[in-house]
Amino acid sequence: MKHTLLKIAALSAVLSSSTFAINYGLGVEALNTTYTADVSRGTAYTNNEVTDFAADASLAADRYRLNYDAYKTSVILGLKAFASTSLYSQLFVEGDLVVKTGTIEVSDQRQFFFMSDITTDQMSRGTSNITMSIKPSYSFGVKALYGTDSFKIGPELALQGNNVKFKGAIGSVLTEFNQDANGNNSAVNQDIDDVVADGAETQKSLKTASKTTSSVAYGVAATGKLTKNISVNAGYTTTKAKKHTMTLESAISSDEDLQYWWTGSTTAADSTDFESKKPTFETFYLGVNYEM
Amino acid sequence: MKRTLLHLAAISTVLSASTFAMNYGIGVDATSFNFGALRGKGSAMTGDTLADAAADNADLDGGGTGPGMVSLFNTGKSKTMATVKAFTSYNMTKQLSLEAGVFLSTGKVELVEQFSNFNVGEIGTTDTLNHTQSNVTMTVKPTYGFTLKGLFGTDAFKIGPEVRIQNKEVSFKGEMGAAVTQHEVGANSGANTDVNITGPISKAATTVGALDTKKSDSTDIGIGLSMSGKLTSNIIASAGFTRATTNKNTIKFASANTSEILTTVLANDNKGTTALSEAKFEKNDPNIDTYYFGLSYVM
Repeated sequence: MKHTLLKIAALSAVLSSSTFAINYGLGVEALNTTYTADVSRGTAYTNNEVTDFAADASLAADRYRLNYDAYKTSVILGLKAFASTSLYSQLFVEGDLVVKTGTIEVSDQRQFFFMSDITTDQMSRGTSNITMSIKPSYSFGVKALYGTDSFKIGPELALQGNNVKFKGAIGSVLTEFNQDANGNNSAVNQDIDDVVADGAETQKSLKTASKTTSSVAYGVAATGKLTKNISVNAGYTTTKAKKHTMTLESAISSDEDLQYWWTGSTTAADSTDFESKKPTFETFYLGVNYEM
Repeated sequence: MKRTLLHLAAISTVLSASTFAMNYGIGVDATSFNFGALRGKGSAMTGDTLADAAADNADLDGGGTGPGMVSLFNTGKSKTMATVKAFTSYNMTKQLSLEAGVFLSTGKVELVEQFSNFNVGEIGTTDTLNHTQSNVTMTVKPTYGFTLKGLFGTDAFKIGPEVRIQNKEVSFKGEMGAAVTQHEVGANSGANTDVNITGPISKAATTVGALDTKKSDSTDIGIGLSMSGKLTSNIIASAGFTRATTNKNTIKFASANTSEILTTVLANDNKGTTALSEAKFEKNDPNIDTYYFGLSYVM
């Protein structure tokens, strides 16, 4: 789908330059790019209550839960080259290539205790320090604009590329508490206080290799002339991207607590998706162009 | 400041209607309303490593000075909603026009935050292990507002700065809860020794606090850019972007809270020694970005 659109866009640009009278131009854009996603571990609540405080078995079933709306926005700069042609007196087609600079950095830091999935439901302390960097790299857009030479508006399709990488580390450690003077002879349950670590913390760093992803965005674009050669354009596009996968530099082995902290599951995996659903990218841009 | 601007906007609209030759119009916008904030508890980690790797008591319980819990994340939500607007505009010079408008928004942004985990809270002289849960939904509903635009250009196309004075309603719903946990009488032996924590159970009745669901009303001032162009002699297309930094929102329990461990769920950086009934939801002042595309009919 993406490659087909890319070919259509390239073909349309070539055809337009060979068949129609076309205009070329260069421009600069300020792009306000917004990332939104759902991040979760464990099972989400289904109503507005907290209902899972219970003794022992039920408590163990609710060992770790996290669910929130991730969001970050960043204004980045884009340099643009475009070609446009008039199909009819009021219908224009424009193809453009935008090269972008700037990064969206999404932070996720956590440190708390959870019940790791070990037969005895031991208590562990997990720590995560994760930063996801999303660097929009390019977009190749096609616009069908309706209007006059002075002002045009219409739909836009854009193939957008992102470089995504993670950095940071995760860790966990089993915990103990100081048993009181009664020791095991106590006839009653003991308060858990003076929590201490049971051994050294296991830590794993995230792979920092950059991955390139692409998605097709759609939206609305408008452009208007300020002078004969200078035009202003604005637009809004939205796209659903694939979930971004985090990978550890080395596999987790025999650390069930770290495994559960990492994925919220007992299944061994050195990779997991950062998001629980496909993230959305929204871009609003304003630019100034010089038409040759 | 906000009210003064609100008054200026209203006065300018009235003045423009009575003093200058002007145009009136009505329209509808598709508005992307974006609320973004930073949420956090405890001290943020610096660098890309795990700072608290030391395996000692002071590390695990937060040094006895805090809830032994860190969370920091970028949160927010985006929603596209319909906005109905009425406006008036007049030309100051051949290429400079002013536009004042009023708009009504529909729709709302719902931000979800849920967690269930354990923390070490400083309760009295001991650091008990607490099971804490939070199920919070924050609703941000833009209601109405005024816009002022200074637009430069020709009759066919104009661009310029925009000030957007926007009223919104914010409300919370949900619950928070906490319970001190105990260790079952188990197989571990030895008095005054460290034993693995297994199968913790709630010590006593859970403390659950329902959130106050009352709406709070506030006004923000967004600054940005706007552009408009004529499609026909009466129909105008417009687009714009504004950004406002708004005050942090207060989240509170429906009834007074006397539980210190429940306070560690509510408050950002509470030390666990004083029970609180309300706290700021965000760590920093949140941002509200608004993008819109619309069509208008000029009479």
